[in-house]
Amino acid sequence: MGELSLVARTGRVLFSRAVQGRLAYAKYFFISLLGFFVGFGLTLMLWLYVNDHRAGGLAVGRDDLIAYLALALVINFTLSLSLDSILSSRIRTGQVAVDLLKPISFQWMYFFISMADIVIQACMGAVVLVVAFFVLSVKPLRLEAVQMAVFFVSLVLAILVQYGICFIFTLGAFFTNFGYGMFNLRLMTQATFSGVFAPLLLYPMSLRAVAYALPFHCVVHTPALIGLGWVSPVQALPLLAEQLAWAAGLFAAGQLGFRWILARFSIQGG
Amino acid sequence: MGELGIYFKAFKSMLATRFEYRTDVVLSLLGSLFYQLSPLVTYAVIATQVPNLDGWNSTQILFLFGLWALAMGLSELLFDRVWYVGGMVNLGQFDRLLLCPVETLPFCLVTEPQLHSVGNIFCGCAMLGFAGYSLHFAWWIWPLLPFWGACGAVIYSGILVVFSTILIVLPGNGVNVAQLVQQAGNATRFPLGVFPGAVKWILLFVVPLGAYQFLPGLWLFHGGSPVAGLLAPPAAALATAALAWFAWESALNHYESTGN
Amino acid sequence: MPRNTGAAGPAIETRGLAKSYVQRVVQAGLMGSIKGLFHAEKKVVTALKGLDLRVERGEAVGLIGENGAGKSTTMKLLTGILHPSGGHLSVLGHQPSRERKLLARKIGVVFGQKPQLLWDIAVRETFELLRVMYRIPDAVYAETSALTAKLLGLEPLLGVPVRLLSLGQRMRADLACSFLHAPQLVFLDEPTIGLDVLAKEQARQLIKTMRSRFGMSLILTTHDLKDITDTCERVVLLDKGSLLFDGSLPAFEHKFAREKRIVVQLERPLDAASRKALGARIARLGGKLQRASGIEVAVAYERPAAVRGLTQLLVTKLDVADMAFEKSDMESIVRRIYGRPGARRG
Repeated sequence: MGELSLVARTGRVLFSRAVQGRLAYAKYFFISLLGFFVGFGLTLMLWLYVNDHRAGGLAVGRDDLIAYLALALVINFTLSLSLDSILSSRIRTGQVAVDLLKPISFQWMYFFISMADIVIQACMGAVVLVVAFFVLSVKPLRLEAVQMAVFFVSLVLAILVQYGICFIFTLGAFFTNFGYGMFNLRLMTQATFSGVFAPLLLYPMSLRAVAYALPFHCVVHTPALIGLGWVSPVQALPLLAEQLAWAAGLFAAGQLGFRWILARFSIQGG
Repeated sequence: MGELGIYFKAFKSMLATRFEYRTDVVLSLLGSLFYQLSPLVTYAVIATQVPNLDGWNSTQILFLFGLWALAMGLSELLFDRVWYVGGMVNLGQFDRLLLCPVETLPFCLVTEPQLHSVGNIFCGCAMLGFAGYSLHFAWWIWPLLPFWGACGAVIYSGILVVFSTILIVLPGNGVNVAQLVQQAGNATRFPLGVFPGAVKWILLFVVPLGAYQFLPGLWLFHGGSPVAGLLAPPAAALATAALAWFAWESALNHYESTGN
Repeated sequence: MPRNTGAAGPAIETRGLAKSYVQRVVQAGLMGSIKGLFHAEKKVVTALKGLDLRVERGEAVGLIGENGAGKSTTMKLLTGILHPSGGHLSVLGHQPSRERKLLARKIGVVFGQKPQLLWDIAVRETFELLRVMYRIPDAVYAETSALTAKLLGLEPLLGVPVRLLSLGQRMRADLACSFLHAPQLVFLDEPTIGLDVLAKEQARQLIKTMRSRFGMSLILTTHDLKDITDTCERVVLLDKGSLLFDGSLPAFEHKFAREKRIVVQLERPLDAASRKALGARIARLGGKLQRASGIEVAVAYERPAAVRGLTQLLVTKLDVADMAFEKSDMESIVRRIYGRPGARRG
């Protein structure tokens, strides 16, 4: 109980300081937002062109497509973590030694710090979502309370899956001592198979099968499906179970991997 | 040894540092292959829905993909440090740059070569090679391909420099700024005709990321102006480089160092 | 034969040099940060208030002051990193911010906390890059690289990647980097930070040797004042961006280091009552009982006339085992200057 309360208290402080750290560079808060609008806008324009030029339109209707892309991009943006990028730099310069001296689990410490990214990005994402739906005249989503609750649970599980994925890739940075490669690999695999650019429904069968076999779709595609009401709460239950399984598996793998690496790695920087 | 020799020496020294992390090099190469293949997957998804984009067939679009990959790879090999300007300012390393007896902009740009750029260059060459072979390029088009790629690298890097000067004046997170430019660049893999007129105009004349591949493509495949196809890429590259230089020098006048 | 003494004009000349910048003030706490996103107060901070300074060629000046006094700002203005907000500034005949590149070739700079070594490759590779970048003639490079390697004990480290060096080893190698091109003027900002006692001594020896060999001018800021007493003949004291003192080391000591001490070792400790009585007698003779703990007693005095009476008192009233006379060291002088209420302005 004492250990848990220490983690919670330290976590709250870490989270609060991390948010302050990010807000200190206020101008970049808005540049991020602008960057997101640009990315969202260009992807959307491309898909709208495709929709308008396909005989009979896409398998997904125009409004549904817009809604999906908006929600998927917002979820992807909200859950994009720079954990592996930051940590790989600390590993390279040896600063990670300071983190290892803290009387709190390394995995939990960076979880709370990462939550700062997520909260800030969620605020920005919400703004984008509202603006996108308003500008593009998409009818607002009308989810029932149960659907909202399931969507919320799915988002929380998506955060855990995303953190698990990032942490595993960060462990790779311990192994390679630099980490850029791991970061790039994760980013691109995730971009391809998470369903952020298009609903997996539009993917060819073979690619869809690969996407479903990997955990990335649990981060974007699954919560987007639930959030848009494309699956009922009952149909969502196996999806939530899948998210939970991935989250638990990745967390456990992260713990084991971290212990294994700690016993072997040496700190650079003298 | 002239100033160019100094840049070359610095580039070589920094390139040597990249070989220190061998596993990471392999993973970075894999990452860059994925970076280029991932949008191909996206395109494959699109191609299952429509036979062409604004009259451009898949092979012609591959030409655009290839030039963007080549330009990006060359930029990562030769000018990648522009991504780290924000970090350098925050950590005080920018002070050290200002103490070097060389022109700071080119020296800064060449001192962070990335080996994963080889993956992007390789992908770019492969895609261009395939497109050129399939589209039966005349012999004199082949030498223009690396030229257009080089113009693209200068345009892309120049725009990144202009945006990164914000970080010199207002210290902050550089990655956000660079990602903004990269996102715009990613869009130019597709024929600009698929975007509304205003966006197309911006990508050709304001941030001319479309100038070095779309205009040559228009000339080669769709009867566009040969003058625009041949001259627009170097003109846009020169204009962007000049703007980048001006923006950088102006930003240095407003630089406030951080900490002691 | 020193190379740099023949050039005309001072090494550094500043008149009314000023630097101020705008700082965003955000309220404390998470809510403060969120409010700061939309509105933050702006405060103009004056880091340097009209500094007048002249340093001759070949001269070595120690720049001292507490944190925030303006030392690093001065260094950055003199090296061309920062643009001044006002005043006139000339370094080796150049205006630093406008002629940065020309000046950079003639100066060497050590920022103790911002090394110039290439992190991932051997020290030798950085040396080689600097040789090319500064266009160092072969003969000069051969001499400076040999001298620095010998005096700083770098020979075994030259082939080692920087990331594998200890902090002290990195600092020594970084110090060497700034001397390779035999600069006319060297700026050293905390050059001995992170060094052990022996390495500090090596660093000071290098500075002295390079100065005597090449006639370099030197500006040194440090928190270890022994660096200054060992290598400089002049001291400039800054306080809150203003000049508090500028003069020779002896003049500095004369002005601020009048206090001397008699330190006595006793056969046995004093009891409380004896300590109190001794303190009163010392005060009457113009001294001050600084310390009386265990078997050591320290008595401070300023007027030379007081020394005879104080010595007599100590010898006759105490069981003296040993006795020594001490001058104040730089450390205690500076501590006292900044501890004085009058020294803190603004």
